[in-house]
Amino acid sequence: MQGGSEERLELRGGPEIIRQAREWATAQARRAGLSGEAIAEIALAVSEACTNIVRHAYAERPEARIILTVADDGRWLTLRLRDFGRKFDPAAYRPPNLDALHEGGYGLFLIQQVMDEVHYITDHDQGTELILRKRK
Amino acid sequence: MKIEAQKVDNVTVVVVEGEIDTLTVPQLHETFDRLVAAGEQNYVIDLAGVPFMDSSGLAALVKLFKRIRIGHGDVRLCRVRPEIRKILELTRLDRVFEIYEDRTLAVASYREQG
Repeated sequence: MQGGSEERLELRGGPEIIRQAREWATAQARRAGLSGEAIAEIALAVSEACTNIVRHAYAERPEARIILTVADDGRWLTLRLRDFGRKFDPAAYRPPNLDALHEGGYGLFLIQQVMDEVHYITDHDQGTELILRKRK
Repeated sequence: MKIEAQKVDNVTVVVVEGEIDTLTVPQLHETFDRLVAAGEQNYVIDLAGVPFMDSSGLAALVKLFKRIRIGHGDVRLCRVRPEIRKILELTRLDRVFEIYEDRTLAVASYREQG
């Protein structure tokens, strides 16, 4: 995949889809020629993002629905994760205090640490779209 | 995911194999719950066989650590792969958990402290 191509995957289910999303994103990142370290970072970011979608956006529903797309324009790998569940409010997010011990709340923090750009689109009729970008 | 726990001296070595995420982490919680209930205080978690761990794994380690510290026990890690070491560093949990390159050294570290 190179120079302006796009791939798409739709997943429905419970926590088992997190690994499927991660493996797909890993394969896409590998095809795009990213380094081993960058591939691992993308796997982590996608895992954390899908976990948040399954646990929070679809907290009251038996099945999550996530559409993942990846685009490679030669300079950037752009992943989009679109869900149709409860909307996420980025303004309400508070990063964890790293001087304290937490049993949760590191997910979005890690996404922001390992990806070069992180954006949320929250004005769809339903759900949220998360955009993750990595420089090649 | 496969988890095995073995006692070496006064240290419980927990060897984990497989990816740790939201789907698989309940097994880790169950293992830790069982060991804590049995009174085990000193842990070495061997992560050589863990090619992926996300924040659900961090949460399980932190939960165990908090429970054990009450009784003056400790949780130490060994054979952590670079990708996982990175998330420990990003979250500053590498300042909480002692990390060893080698399982024998990790177990021995408890002996040295007496």
